Amino acid sequence: MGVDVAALYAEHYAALFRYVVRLTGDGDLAADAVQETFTRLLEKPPRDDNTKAWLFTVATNLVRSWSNSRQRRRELLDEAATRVPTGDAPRTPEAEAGANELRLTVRRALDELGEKERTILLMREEGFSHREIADAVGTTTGSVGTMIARALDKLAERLPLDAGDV
Amino acid sequence: MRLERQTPEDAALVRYLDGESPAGERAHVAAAAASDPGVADRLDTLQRRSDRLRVLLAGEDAQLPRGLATFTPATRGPESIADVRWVQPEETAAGTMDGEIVPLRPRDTRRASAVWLRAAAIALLVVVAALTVAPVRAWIFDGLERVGLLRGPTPPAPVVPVDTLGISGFALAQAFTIEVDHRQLEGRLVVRIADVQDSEAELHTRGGGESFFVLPEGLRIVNHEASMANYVVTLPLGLRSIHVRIAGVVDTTLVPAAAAEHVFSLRN
Repeated sequence: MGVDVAALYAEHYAALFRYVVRLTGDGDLAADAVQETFTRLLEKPPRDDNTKAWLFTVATNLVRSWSNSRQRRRELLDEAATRVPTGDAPRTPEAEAGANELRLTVRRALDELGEKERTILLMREEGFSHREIADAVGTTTGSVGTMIARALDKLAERLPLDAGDV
Repeated sequence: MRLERQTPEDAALVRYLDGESPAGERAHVAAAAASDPGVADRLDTLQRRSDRLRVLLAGEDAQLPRGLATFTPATRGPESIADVRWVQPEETAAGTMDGEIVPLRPRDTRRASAVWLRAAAIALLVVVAALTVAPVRAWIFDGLERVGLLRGPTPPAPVVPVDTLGISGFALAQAFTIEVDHRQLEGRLVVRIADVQDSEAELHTRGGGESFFVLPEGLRIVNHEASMANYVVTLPLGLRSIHVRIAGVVDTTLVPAAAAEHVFSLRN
């Protein structure tokens, strides 16, 4: 049975792209990964009905294979952090610098997490259940909560998650 | 050891916050949070860190094209992805699993022409599909307008559906406190005192990530400065007093002698 790629694209593209950008800090790599993911969907669609989870897992695995070099990712992160935002209204140079600095801090804090922890945290942000996350990263459902809590604790050491305001 | 005597571990607390606890565990965590300040504090910490991380990640999304950065609350589903497995980075064998995660390869820019043709066909398909998605369409139109290829009104902003979150039957102290973390962009808090049996709280949000947090002697509304949600808290007659604290500044005491409705603006 074929899949309606256009409908799936319309439904999942934005969330998948956002997720991969958050995962990698690299918009170009995310665009490549998402395109490749939909290509694979077209070529060999999944056999079960949970296409959304399939898309996210395939994209995650692609990114992992492409970003194997942490050095390369660090270079990409530094580039990405200084890009001009396209989603916000223009800001003052000072505010822009502050936002870039915070973005870089967030990016580096995420990068300091283990890959599983980062993936688990970001899949949680996209609304996946603990069962789906566990299946995607190859762990038990029970340990997902532990890893989320541990990842939040680690991030809190580097990010203002406990301060008065973000 | 009986469940009631154990202090809930982090995994159980996160499941509680994510709405994934089985019924018994949920009641156990709620009871532990009500009786043990350490548990309540840890729950509070995990919730606060989750909420603030969400705000920081939204800042990360500034790299996304306009419209794609909008956070849409995702739904949690019971589906299984057991057929798709996690691939180790060093794994290079041909893809063999049901999910068809095909051979891993380096990011190769030297693709065969057939691949490019296929990619071009898909890109065309994708563009057509993209035009059916309001945020993407808005982004494309915006780009065309910037380079002078399109003149006309800006397409309307994508409409984010309103989500409703409700809780009921939370414990009531005679001196009940409603705490709102922050003032927000817009929105209001309605405290309704009525001839009802159970307490009830409801929030209406457009994907801002707001939530309720039940405290031993009250209810905390977890929001942030960019929130635009409305909150309705219904409490029964008979309480001695109701304290409403907003952003740690406003402190109003209501005496619920008769059915009434009190409205608080939460705007900055």
